[in-house]
Amino acid sequence: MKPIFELSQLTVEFRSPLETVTAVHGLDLVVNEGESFAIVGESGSGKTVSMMATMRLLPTPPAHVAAEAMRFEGRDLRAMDRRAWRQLCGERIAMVFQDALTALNPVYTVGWQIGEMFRIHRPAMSRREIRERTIGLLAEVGIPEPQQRVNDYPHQFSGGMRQRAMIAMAIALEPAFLIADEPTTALDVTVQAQLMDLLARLKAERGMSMILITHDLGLVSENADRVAIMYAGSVMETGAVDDVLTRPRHPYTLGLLASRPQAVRKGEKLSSIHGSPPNLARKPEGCPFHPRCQMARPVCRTSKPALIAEASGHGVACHVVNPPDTAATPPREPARADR
Amino acid sequence: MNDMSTAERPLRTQPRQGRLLTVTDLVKHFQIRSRKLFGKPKTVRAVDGVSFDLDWGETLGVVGESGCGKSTLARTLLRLEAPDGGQGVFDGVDLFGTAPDLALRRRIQVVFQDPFAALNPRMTVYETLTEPLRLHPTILPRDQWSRRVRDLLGRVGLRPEFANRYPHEFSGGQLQRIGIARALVLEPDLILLDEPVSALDVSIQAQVVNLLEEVQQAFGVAYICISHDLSIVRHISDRVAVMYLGNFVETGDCEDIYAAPGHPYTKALLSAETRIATRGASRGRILLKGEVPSPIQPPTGCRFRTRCWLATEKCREVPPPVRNPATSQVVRCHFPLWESG
Repeated sequence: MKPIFELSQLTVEFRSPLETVTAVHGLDLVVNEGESFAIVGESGSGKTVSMMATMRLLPTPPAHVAAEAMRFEGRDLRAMDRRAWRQLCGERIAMVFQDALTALNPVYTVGWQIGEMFRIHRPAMSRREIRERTIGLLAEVGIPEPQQRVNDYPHQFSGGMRQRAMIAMAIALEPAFLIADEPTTALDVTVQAQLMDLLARLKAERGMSMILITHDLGLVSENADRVAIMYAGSVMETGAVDDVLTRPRHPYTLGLLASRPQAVRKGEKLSSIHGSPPNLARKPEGCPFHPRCQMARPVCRTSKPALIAEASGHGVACHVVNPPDTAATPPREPARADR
Repeated sequence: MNDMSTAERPLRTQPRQGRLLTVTDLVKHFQIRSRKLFGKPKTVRAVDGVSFDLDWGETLGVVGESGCGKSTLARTLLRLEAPDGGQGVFDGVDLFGTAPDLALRRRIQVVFQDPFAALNPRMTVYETLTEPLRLHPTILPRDQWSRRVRDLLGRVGLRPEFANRYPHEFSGGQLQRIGIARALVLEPDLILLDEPVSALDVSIQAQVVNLLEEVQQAFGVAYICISHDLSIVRHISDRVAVMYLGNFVETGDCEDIYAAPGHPYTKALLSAETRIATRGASRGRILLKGEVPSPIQPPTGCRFRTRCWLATEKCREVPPPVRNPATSQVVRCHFPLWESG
């Protein structure tokens, strides 16, 4: 399989005179062509920030982004100037945001906002062509009566329809790579099922690769090929979805799966992870999960475990699973943020 | 976990048996102005004829999609909205009597969805937890307030010294524990839980669900738990009501409904729930067409017919009858699923 998108040792920091918040710490990620890759984590785990950094959507400063490699279709994204990036963005890479109501501009019609993709990237297209393509896109994402709806403003759309309009905008130029940031979190389950079905269909028809950011392990199980479980800015466990979710090895993954109500019979207590995620400005030394980990050993307090992968690609960053003396390589120090 | 250890005595003595709450044909409509100057005002039929019973110490889960009226139902039961019709009897007292009864208010409490918004940022935890006692001065003499606060904080798994802190010093999960403690201060008989864990992180949700169950065992309080999260409702409910466009389309014992849903909507809702399964395993997912219609002009006949794959002409014309299978379920449908198999 050919990689379409690669990140190596991505680090994102937010610096203020008072403190430095390390939101992402040494993230490695490879997405292959035609693959769905899920990033799972709780709020503050760095799943959204890592993708926002990649998409150059973070204001710098206060954000500082550094990476050893950041490649898309073989091109180095770090070296790319603003002009080249704008051309790539929308054309080859697109993003669907979580909250469609904030992501859409309330004072322009939905059709105008979808058409903007063509006006910027396809200056040769006529207004009539743009309108027809926009209506076609709305029909493709399942908006009823697209000829009328194209003139509606975002507030006239329901939550599910807004998210469909966002998807229409993202796929307008047939990108090869789609980043979907919690695309269905704000929506009802029946609408979520419709939208995930739509995304799967579009992906299959167009051979798109996709990153799905979510906190719902069920959604991952049904929609992704590979997954990375993030906690406090680092990947705890990664691999094929079936490996990670049915043979989890990291205590955090085990805890997440066990705390689902489906994991126990009715009337039994849910097994919960005690405590709460750390403050990223005062992250614990060593493994970020050790204060909440029931299997923590002394070494977990002092040294951060490296992500060690089996031949199958199933990788775990844990001293308990991979005792330090057997670890082949010490953890790499991530590159200093300088961009 | 130090959840239960610090509280030395149960606040309540013996749980009672039998019927706590009976609601019959509850209606709540909202009038909204027409966009046209002299247009007729329109009516949003948020809750349109809901009936149910609740026993002492029982948990009723209410599931439904956004806009189905489940939060309006909760607000009406709390008398935050005046109902437009229907009866409610709470332990022999008229729930919707002319003046809201202070004693009734004490006995029905609420835990809100967003713990960051539900607590006053300018009040310490002690002030938040004693405000109900200030409003109901006959419940507890003032010299026992600090002891009650300490007890309650212990019950919900927080340290007693947290009483002097402000909400911004806590995480979301801790704030929701404080919200639960506030609901318990007056020893209510019923707590309405409006999406109690949906604003919390996945790893925290299980902690709060466990706490709610411990509290129910210790205090014998009944819950009405409103949620769109089917797995949480399944876990904590004794009985479940499925709400669609202002109506309960199906009610029944939790096990019966989840094992064999009788209403097509229930079946679709359950099938849409994501779950962890091995690749390629058959899901039998039902994808509904479209979205929930507007409660201003609900469809004629059966309200679900516009999205139902079993709908016929009959569903368009005749409101569905109430049907009972052999189990505990009550289903409003012309073609309940136990008939078609």
